[in-house]
Amino acid sequence: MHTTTRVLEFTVAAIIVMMLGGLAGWYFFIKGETAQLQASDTARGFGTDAPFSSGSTGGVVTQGTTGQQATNGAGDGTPSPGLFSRIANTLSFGWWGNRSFDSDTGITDFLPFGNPGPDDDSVDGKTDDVTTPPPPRLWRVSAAPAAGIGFIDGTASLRFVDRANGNVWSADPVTGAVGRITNTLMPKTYEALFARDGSVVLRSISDSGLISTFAAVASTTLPSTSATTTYMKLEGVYLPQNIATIAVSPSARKLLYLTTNAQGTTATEASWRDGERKVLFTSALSQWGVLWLPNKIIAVQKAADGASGYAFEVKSSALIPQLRDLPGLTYLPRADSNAILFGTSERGSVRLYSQAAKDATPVELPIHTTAEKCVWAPGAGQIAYCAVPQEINSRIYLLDSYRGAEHSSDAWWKVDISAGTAEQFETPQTDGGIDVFRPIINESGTHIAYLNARDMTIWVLRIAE
Amino acid sequence: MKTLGFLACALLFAIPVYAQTVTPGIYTSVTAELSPESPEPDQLVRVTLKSSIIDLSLATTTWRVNDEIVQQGHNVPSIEVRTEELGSKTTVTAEIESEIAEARTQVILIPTEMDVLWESDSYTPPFYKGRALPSAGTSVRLQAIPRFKTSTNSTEIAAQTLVYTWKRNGAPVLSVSGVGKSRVSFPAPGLFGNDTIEVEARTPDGALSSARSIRISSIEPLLTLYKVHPLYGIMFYEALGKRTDVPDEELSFAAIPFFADASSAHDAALVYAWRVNDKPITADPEQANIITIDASGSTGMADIELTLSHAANFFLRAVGAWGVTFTNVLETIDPFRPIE
Repeated sequence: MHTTTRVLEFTVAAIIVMMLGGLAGWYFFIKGETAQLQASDTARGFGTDAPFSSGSTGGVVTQGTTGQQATNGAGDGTPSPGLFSRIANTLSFGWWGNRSFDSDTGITDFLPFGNPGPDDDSVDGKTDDVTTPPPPRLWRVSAAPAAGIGFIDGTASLRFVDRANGNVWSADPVTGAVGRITNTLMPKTYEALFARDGSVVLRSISDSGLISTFAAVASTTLPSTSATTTYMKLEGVYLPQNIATIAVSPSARKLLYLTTNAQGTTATEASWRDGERKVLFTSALSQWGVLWLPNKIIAVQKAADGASGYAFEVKSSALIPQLRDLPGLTYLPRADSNAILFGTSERGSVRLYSQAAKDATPVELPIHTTAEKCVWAPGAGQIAYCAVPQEINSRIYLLDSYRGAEHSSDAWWKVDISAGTAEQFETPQTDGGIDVFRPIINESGTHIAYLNARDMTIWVLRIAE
Repeated sequence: MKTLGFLACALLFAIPVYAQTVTPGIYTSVTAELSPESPEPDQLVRVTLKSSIIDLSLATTTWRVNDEIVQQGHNVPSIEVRTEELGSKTTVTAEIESEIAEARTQVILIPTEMDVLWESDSYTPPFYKGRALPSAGTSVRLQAIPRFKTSTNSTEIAAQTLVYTWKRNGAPVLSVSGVGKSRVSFPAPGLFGNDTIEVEARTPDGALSSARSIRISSIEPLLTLYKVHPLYGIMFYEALGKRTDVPDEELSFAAIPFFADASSAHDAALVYAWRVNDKPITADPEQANIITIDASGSTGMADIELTLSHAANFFLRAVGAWGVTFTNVLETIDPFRPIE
C-alpha cells in the first residue's frame, strides 16, 4: 500500500515535472518561432488587422486611451504581464499575480496572434452584439499610421484609410465603434482623400518612384470568393501617373487634379472615373495646392518660409487674386462666405490673420500657427478652431514641419472672426503632445478629427465638454 | 524777349503724360514723376513735379484730379492721389504759375496689376507639401500674371498680347523677352547667391505698363534621413534626428536630398557616399539613396554619415550625419503582446 502510494506520488510528481518541462520547452520554441514569424509577417503585411490603441472585440474597438500608448490588448494603459506570470496565473487559477482568471478566455489569450480578428458580421463598422461605452473626449482612434481621414455627410461616421494596406475603416465618434469596411489590399498608401459620400482616393508611390492615384468607391457587391466575409472591395480607376496635387469636390463625386508636362501644368476637373474632363486652368508652375469649396475653387502656391505666396480663385480659366505676395502664405477660406484665415511665416515669425469679409482689413490674431492647422466651424457664426504650437523653435518652421524634422505640441484655440478674438479651450493632455495635421470637422460641428504628424495616428476631439 | 521765349517753350512742351509715364526732355519745363511708377488699384500714388526752369517752391500750383481742384497754393510740388479700380482713369493736372513762366502738366493714371510667381525645379519627394527652393544648378520657373484693363470699355487685355521685358541682375535677357513671354525659366543663383529678377509688361502701344522685381536666393540641398518601413514605406513624416533609437535589428533608411539638382532621389547623376561607423558602405546602384543596416549580434550606435555630390554639378554637395541605436527587439519582445 505504502509502495503504491509512493509510486503514485512519484508518478504525479513526474507528470508535473514533465508538464512543466513541456511548457518551458513549448515556451522557448514558441519564442524563437514567433520572432521569426513576426518578422516574416510584418514584411508580408500581416499583424495590422486591428490597428488600434484599444481593446478589440469582434473587430469593434470599444474605447481608446487618452494620451497613452496602449500597452496591452485591453488598451487600458496598464503594462502587459509577462508570459510566465500569465502561465502561473492560469495554473494557479488567478492566484498568481493578483490577476483575475477568466476561465472563458482560457488559453486563447496566450495565442501569439492575440484576440480574435474583426467580426465577420460587421459591416460599416457596426457589430450588433457589442455594447460600447462612449469614447473619451480626446480619442485616439488608431495607433497605426493612417493615410487620410474624412467625415461622411449625413452620418457621424469618420472614415479612415490604413496606411499599411489601404483598407478603409469606419469610426463612430459617438459610440466608439470602429470597424473595417473594405479589405482590398492597397499596400503603402501614403495619402488618402475622402469625398463626403465616402468615395476615396488612394495615393501611393509606384516602383518607378512616380505617384499613383486610385479613385475608388466601395462596392456593394460582396466578394464571391468568401462566403463568410462581408467586407466590401474597392473598385475604381487609376488616374494619370504623377499627379502632384488632387482635390475632391465637396458636393459632387468629382476630382480636380494637376498634371505636369514640358509645357506646364494643367488643372483638370474630371468625374470619379476620370471621364468628362475639363481643363480649369494652366500654369507654368506646378507647385499648387487646391482647395475645393462648395462655391469656389482656390489655388494656393505651395508655401515656403519667406517666399512670396499667392492665392487665387479659379474662375473661367482665369486666376483671380485673393491674397498676393505674402511670405510663407497658408490659406483657409470659409465655405459659402468670404471670410478667410491666412498665415505667414518668415524668419521664424509665424503669424495668423483673419479677414471677415472680402474688403475687410485683415486682423492679426494673437496666436502663432498656420492656416493649415485650422478648421472652420459650420453654422452662422464665423468661428474657427485652430491648433496652435505651444512653442516654435525653428526659423524655417514650414520647411521643418513639412519634412517631418520638427514637430510641435499643439493646444486648441477657438477663434471668433467677427469679434477678432481667440481663446484657448481646455483639451485633455497627451504624452508627447500632438502635432495636428490635416484637421477636419464634422458637419454638425461637434467633433474635430486630425492626424498626429508625429506618427500619423488618428485622433478625434469632442469640442463640447 | 527771353521771358517770352521761356513762356513759349514752357507752354509748348508741357505736354500731357499718360499711363504712369513721364515724358522727359530737356525742353520740358515741368514734368511729373510717380511713386510708385506702376500704381496698382486703390493705391496712394505721389505725383511730384520737377522743373529745372521754374522754382516750384515760389510758384503757385493748382492741382486738379478729374477736373476738380484738390489743392492750390505756393510750394505744393507734390500731392497724393488714390487710384481707383483696375482700368479706371484718373486724370491729375497741375497748373503752375511763376513770375517767369506758366506751365501745365497732366498725368493719367490707369492702374494695372502684375504678380510674379516663382518656384524651383529642384527635387522634393512625393507628397511634399512645401515649395521647392532653388539650389545651385537647378532652374527657377517664373510666371508673370498681369492684369491690365482698358479705360475705355474696361475689358481685360489678354496677357499673351503684352510685351514682356525680363532682366536678370539688371541685364535684359532678350532671349526670353518679347510678346507673350510671360513664362520663363532662369538658372538658379549660384551657391549661396542671390538674383534680382525684374519684369516689365506693357501694351504694344506703351499706354499701359507694369513692372515688378523679385529677389531669389539659392540654398544648399538638405539631406534628410527617413526610415523605410516594410508596411508604411518611407516614413516622410518622421525625419531622423541626430540621435535615434530604433526598436529593430534590421532596418532600411532612405536619404532624401531636398532641393538637389535631380529628378528623383535615386537620380543616376547623384553620388551617395555612405559610411557606417567609419566604414564605407556600397549601396544598391539602382537605389543608392537607400541603405539597409543589419545590427543583429551588434550593440551600440551606428554612426551613419552621408556625403552627397553630383556627377556634373560640382556645386552640389551636402553632408549628413545621424546616430542610430538598434535595440535588440528579439530579446525583449513579448510574443503575446498585440502588434500595434
